[in-house]
Amino acid sequence: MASPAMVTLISSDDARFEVTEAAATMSQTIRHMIEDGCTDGGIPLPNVPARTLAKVLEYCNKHAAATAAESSAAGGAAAGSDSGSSSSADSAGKDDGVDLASFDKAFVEVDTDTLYDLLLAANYLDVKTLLDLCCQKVADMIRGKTPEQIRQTFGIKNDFSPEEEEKIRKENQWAFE
Amino acid sequence: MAAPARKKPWFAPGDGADHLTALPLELRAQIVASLPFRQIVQLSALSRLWRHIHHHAPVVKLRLYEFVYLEDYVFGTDRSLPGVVDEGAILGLRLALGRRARDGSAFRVDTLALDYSVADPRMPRHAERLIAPRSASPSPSDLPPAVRRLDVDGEYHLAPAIAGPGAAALRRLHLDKVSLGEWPRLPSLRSLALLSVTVEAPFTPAAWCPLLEHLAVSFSTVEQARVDIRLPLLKSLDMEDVDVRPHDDSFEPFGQVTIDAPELEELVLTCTSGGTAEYRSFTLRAPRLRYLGYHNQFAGRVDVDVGRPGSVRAGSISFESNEEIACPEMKLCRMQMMRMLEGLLPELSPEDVADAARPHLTLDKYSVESFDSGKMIPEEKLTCDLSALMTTLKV
Repeated sequence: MASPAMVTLISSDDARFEVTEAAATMSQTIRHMIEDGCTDGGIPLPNVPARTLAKVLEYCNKHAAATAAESSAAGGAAAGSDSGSSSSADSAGKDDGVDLASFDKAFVEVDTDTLYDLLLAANYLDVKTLLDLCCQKVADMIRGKTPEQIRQTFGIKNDFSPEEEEKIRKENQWAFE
Repeated sequence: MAAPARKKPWFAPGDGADHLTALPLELRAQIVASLPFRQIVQLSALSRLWRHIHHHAPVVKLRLYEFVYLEDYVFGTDRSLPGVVDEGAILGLRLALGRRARDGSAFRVDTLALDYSVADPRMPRHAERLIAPRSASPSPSDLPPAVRRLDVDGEYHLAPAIAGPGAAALRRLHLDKVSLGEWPRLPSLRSLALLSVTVEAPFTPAAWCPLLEHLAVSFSTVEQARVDIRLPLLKSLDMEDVDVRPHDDSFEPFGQVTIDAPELEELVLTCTSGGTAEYRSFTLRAPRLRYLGYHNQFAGRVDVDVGRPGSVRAGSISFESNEEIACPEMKLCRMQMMRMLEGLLPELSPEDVADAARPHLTLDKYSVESFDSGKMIPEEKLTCDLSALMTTLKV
């Protein structure tokens, strides 16, 4: 791997990022742009500011590198390594899995504004694993809380009248008991 | 951790919505998808923009055990009631699903996950009704046509019947801890996972889900004399600790396992629970097989046909043997391994197969703790590294 293919990404505020094609194509949106040959002079991403793009690329670099390490460790021999066999290549892959899991966990330990920015960017760039990770993080912040606690956590304004809210609760009383 | 400059709540311009509410509906639906349906329904009381979020979540997770109160009410040592089911609440849930089914702007339910881990014989009936939210439906088990994936956890009760036009569209089915008295007919099913399932019906998946591509069966019992997996599109098959025997209490004869799958690429058969799964016969025809993982499965007769020599490129075959667990002695295991290798390398004579395999066979001798006496007993493990063998043969 002397010189991996590189691409340039341009954020909405005109910052330029040089990344490996392997990392960039974790985004299906960018993959399609590269396939369509619109890479000359860099790939513009008008919906993603530099601050968020840097964070997304941190994620993509880490995951692309882990994928590359896993396939070289397996040496192409253990083609079915995800099916529960027990070769030494597998255990190397598992270590990477533990490492990645803790990376992911730390990665979404951010303030909620950053989390929403990541969510929108992952959705626009179509990085499925990152989108799932962010969704899961927000869901965990909702899980087990009452509607009032959720309103407080996320600053959601209750625009129902007391009568309206009472009616909603009555309609699905089984869920509020 | 927090960025001080942006700590203030972020209000989207114009509508005054908070940041979470300002996310597109599709994203909010995806966020709540991992929550139980009961809580998603509670979110409908947050504000107007959340009013119908429970009609948009792509996953509906129902946990029927939450609808039981007074669990395990015991009258005496021999008489107990398995709790009281809150029928009113279940009716409310069904009405909510019915409203969703009639809402033209509702999103499709991708996954209906049904968990009724509760010791209550009435639960399968409730489960069947929930699979069919249209209460006026003539058949009690019409799966709503939009559901593509169904997960059922049944705490060892009979699996709910799955039928109707919705069943015809179902792509993925996961059954956990249920008994299968009869197979549902699922003509579109691509992926089936059975975990801790007792299969009482004949195990012939081709008859009821002919398009199956992925099949995984683990810690399950097939109460039949044979397993016949003849599936033209099957790509992967994983069988872990699968017992095949006609009746629960009979130890002989063991079942016959036949796998005939022209598109099969990956096959894993393992027994991990300490001991060996024994079959009377094991027949495999898989001309496109690339990966074979075979561990502690002993069969009286073995017939392996993978067509092209060397098409299997990776995997391993292994057997463990010790005095305590019921397993064939190592000599027989070695014989079966050689017969399998001969099947994988049909162009070589049995002598040449033995010569080629020798450098890639390892016999490990070690001790394991006895199940009951606590003493250490010797165990042997014979392994053939198929990946290394096929690489050196370069066939």
